[in-house]
Amino acid sequence: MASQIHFLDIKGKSLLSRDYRGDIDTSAIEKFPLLLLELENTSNSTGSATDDSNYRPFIHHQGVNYVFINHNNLYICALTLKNENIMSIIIFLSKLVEVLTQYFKHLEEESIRDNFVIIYELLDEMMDFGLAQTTDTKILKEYITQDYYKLIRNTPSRVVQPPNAVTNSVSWRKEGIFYKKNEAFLDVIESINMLINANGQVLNSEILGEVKIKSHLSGMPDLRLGLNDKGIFNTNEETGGSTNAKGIEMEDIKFHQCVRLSKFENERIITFIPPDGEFTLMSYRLSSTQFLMKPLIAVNCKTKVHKHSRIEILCSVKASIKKKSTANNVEIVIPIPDDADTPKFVPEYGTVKWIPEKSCIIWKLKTFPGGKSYHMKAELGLPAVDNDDNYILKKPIKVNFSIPYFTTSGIQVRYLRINEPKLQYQSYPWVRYITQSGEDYTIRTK
Amino acid sequence: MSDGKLFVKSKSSEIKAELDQAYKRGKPHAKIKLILKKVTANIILNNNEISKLLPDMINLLRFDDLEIRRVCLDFLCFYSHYDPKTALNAVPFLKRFREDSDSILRALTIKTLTSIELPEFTDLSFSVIKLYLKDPNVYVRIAAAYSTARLFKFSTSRVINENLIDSLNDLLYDEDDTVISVALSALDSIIEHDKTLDLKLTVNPSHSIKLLKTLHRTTEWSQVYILNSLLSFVPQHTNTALDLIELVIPFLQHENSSIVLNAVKVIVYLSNYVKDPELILPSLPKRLGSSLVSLLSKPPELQFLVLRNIILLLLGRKYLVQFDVEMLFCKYDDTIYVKDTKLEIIYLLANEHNFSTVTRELEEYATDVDVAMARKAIRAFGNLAIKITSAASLCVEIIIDLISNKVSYIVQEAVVVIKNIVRRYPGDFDYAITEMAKYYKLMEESDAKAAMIWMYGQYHHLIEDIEEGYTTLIQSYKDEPLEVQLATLTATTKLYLHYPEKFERSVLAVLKWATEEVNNPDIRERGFFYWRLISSESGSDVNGGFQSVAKQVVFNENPRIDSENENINPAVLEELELNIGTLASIYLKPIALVFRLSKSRTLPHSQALQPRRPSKNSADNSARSSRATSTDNLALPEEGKIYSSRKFNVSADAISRKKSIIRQSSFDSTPSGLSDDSKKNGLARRLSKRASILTGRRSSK
Repeated sequence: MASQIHFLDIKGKSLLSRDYRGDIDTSAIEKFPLLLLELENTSNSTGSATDDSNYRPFIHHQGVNYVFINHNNLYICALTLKNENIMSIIIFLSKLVEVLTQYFKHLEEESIRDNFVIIYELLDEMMDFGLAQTTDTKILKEYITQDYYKLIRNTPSRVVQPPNAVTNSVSWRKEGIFYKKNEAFLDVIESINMLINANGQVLNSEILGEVKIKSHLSGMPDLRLGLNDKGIFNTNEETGGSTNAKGIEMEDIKFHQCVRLSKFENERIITFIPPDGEFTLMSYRLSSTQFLMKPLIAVNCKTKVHKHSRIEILCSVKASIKKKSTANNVEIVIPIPDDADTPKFVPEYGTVKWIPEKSCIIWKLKTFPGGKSYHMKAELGLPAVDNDDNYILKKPIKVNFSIPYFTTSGIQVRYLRINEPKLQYQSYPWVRYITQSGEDYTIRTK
Repeated sequence: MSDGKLFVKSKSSEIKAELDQAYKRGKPHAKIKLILKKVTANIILNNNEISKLLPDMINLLRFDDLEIRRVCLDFLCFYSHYDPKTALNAVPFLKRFREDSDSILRALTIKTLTSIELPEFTDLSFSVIKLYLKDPNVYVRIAAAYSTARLFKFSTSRVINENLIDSLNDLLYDEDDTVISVALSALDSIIEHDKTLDLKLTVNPSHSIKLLKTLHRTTEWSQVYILNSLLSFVPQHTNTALDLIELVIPFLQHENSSIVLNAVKVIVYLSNYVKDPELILPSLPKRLGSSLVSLLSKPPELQFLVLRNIILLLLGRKYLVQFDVEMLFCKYDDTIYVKDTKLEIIYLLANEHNFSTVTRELEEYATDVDVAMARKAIRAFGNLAIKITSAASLCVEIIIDLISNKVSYIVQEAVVVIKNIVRRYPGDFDYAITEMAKYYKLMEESDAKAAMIWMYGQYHHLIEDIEEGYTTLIQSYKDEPLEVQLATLTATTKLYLHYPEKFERSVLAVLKWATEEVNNPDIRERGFFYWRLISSESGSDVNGGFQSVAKQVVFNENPRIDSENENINPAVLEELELNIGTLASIYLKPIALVFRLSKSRTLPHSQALQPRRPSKNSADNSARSSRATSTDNLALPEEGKIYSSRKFNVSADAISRKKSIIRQSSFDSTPSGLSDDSKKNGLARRLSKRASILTGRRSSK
């Protein structure tokens, strides 16, 4: 897969690297900063993109392919000579970041230097001969720890077995976990992404849902999750859209590796042996065609620009959610020109803040009951002299919010059965629902 | 305590002294480990001076401590070749380790042995590896499998002669699924190693089904390798292929994107062996489509990768994937390369039914603050108008609406686009030409200028106030790039033939310049050609019509241009489809072109293999008109800039040649014997000029 893996600082200087195959010259990475610079220049200048192979985030130079991702001012870069599965490489790199973050909380230049020994060892375990082996922190932590030495001494047989190899059937969970109180916490989190045009019309929308589980369960429990999801109980596409409005058809479900996919495929039952601790059991995506034709939080914003003197913003916002529900921590981020100043705000409710470094104003509403609507008036000064009279702001308005006890899709957990064949303990499942804004809940401006 | 302060370069003498100090203590382990951390740091920092420590490191192997041994063995791998003689002292240790009860140590031993390219180590490796491939411990078997692949790199023939490959093959039937996957990937890398070697992986049907059924139990990376290996399985019957597809479908729902994309690859591969897979499995296109779209919520690098693969599938397998075009609309903070690719996909997805949504979205992009994006959106309008007949009038309306803002770069881009549209639909959009011609003052870039000049020459009857506009346009023709100069020559001649009084002065000046001052052979030749044509006595015919023969020569009918050729060489597409998710799928180029060493892949033949379907477009094209097909190759609309990825040109040379042919032919059908060299120069200059215009604009911002 990859011949070398490098950690580089923001300038492209190598911090730590590992060579897996020895088929690429060690000097290849030294060209990286230069190539990076070149790439930046070309991608800036040739806006018309004359040559596609010059694209980020992949560089091809003298037969060597540089595949890299960026994290906290670090580049993590893999080199390869061959036509490798680049998807795997990128996933591996991002998992690598994930693992290291779980080890040291923050992965940055400093922490790489501080932990070079363990990173070096981890790189050795996670990949052999350039092929990814395991990227599961829980497993890695079993045999790579700072107290590695002690661990060997204490085991009676002196032999530390790599755990995934021994208990292969459930590679993500070790045996002998015990909790006094057996509990499982289930969070159903739905993030809404919506693109709304200036007239309040929804262009596209999607729900990105996640079911997260925090399991504090002893032994090797077998769990079974029941949802009111039509897509799960009824695969038939034809009957999907039209007949029953109550059922939910999930378009695209992705499961954690612990879920028995074939069982799900055949019988539509979600069964699994959970890893210990927190993990994301499943994620799903629903697109707008079924519902969500209306914005949850509708924003109507009018901007009047009086050249050389001031800009007036009139903003109204409405929560089109059920009367019983309440949206919390609603934030409306309205972009303003870079050089606006002396803000004056008259909000009907909530507070408005001016964030000059981000060229925006943020209107915060702590609680927002369903069905209500509020107005806000803002006025900012504009410099009297300017060189550019282009005040067409194309930057969209962003909205952040969260609505507890509510899922937009209407998905509900019917049951979570926990069965541990040997221990037969009593267990307590807890369920929590929340709907929140996704990365892209945006309203275009005219 | 952090190890940060140990992360410095040290001298071997210092480390040696510290080691000696440590030995004097009763329990040196802890101290030694600290020192070894320094050694590791120096390995990382590429400090080759510490190779002198080799004897000390070998000496340390006698400590019965895995952590110490690990570092020492790692050290051996790096520095043995500096001092092969001393390194031999390690052999007795390694011989002892091979029978150690600790599986991790055994695995480390074989890893070390196969990483050192010295005959003694290699000899030992062969005896050890045979043992380890049958080791009771899974971890050791895995290490042995990888080590075989490593060994294969430098002693290829010996690995074959000693039947190690067969032993690896045996591992494919191992009881442990992880071992199987590792064996598969090791074999895969052996096969890929050398393209001259005739090795092939074959998997039989029952085994592959068994593999798939147990797949969910293995780790995610094993799943990647096993799915990948399914490409080596050749289904002999449609039903086997279908069974496998159904088994693979669940993996579209895995959380690891790499598995998802690999599953897509396998499904696309297997569907070659099924007749009409989308009819047998009606939900398949939707599932493939939605699992790909859901990957778009990942980081931009992954999005880009997925988008490129979506393009690939849309080009070759439109019937297997289904997308809602809305899901591919650009977001404000998408990175530019993601936006770019999305735009291309939007264009590919546009059809008779959704073009109104698409045009509305493109209009949004055309007013984007990002200049590059706005330009691309306008180009996309042009391509859309040419691709979908019913969308043409809407597109033209929007373009005309957009240029009324008189934003210079939009108008210039629009000119080029309109030129193509009026050539595609002759006579349908005369109003657009009239409208467009008013903006002659804004022309700065060479392609826009050339397009405008060509329109003035060709559609003179539609343009008001032609004399003033044209003189402004060509006033600096002596300093223009070649492309504009050629257009000027032709257009001036045309205008003279129609309005002899108005343009006599211009034509004289231009032709005199072309024939006397210019060094470029193309311009000179063309100048002479026109000169002789209009000064010839037989130019006017007997009835006294002014220059009627010359007019016949100059004003011949232009070949109509067609929608950009979406048909790529099927063989190339086929190969790329077998490489979904790989680097080649990003470049969308034949693999041999980017990776000289890799093997080319083709679909293996079997009785179930279905013939490749011709893509829909080619059928349209051939049905449309016979004349169009004959000129198809010459008369592509001006693309090459935004959609250049679609052309799978064989070499860079061919690209530029093709581009110049396109450009040339889209202005005029006048035959020209331009030499390739000068054209390439022209093209290069144009591109660089273009680039400088853009950078100029950016820096001034």
